[in-house]
Amino acid sequence: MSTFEDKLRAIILADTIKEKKSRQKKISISLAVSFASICLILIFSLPPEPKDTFDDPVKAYEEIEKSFAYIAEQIEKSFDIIQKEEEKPVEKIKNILK
Amino acid sequence: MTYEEFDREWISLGDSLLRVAIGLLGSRQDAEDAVQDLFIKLWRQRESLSVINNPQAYATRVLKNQCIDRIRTSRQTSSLPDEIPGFEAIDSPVENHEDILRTAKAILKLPTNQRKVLEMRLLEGLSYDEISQRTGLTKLSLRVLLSRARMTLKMKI
Repeated sequence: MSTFEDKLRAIILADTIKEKKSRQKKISISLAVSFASICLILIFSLPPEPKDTFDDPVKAYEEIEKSFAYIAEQIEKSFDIIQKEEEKPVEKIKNILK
Repeated sequence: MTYEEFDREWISLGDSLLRVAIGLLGSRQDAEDAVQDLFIKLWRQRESLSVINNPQAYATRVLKNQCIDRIRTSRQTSSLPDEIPGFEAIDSPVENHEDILRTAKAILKLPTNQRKVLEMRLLEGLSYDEISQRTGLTKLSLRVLLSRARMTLKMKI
């Protein structure tokens, strides 16, 4: 037979589990939104198709370098977006707890 | 405020607060609901509780306000006394109250060792190493216990 204090401990544990679940849900939603945003950004900001440079190896190399630089830049942007989105629910929870 | 502090300073008041609530509401079930509501709110505001010098007095006054609100809501009358000023800060209803109660009931049905490990992990925020030191169980056994507890809760809620 559990005491009333045990019931209170169980209630608090239950509230913590619910809070954790809701936080995980918010983070998942934020990540999904971020991923969708990144996809949209990539789709709408793809550079024009480069001309075929296979005849000139130097130009081909330059194009590859440009492409890698572009991909690196986009990845960096994506990480920034994900980081911002991840911070949102944590900030909201902190505000509620204040 | 850590869970240990909360348990020592606030949860230990549970029985006396329950008696106060029974005196005001006249029904044990309503009184338990009121006290449980109060503790959910207190736990959610635990960071600001450390400034309260007299937890017993504070909790009793907030509980009395909650009980007055409950009686007022059930009778739909305004002839009851006003709330005690300065203690109305946490009188809004708890969201998902039924959901939390259902989960709590499932938690109470867990074997004691599973419940304790769940408390240490989730409420006290202890690592597997720390729980292992405290309980003498191996990390593998802890993981099995936690996994079983989570599975049981998942099925029941």
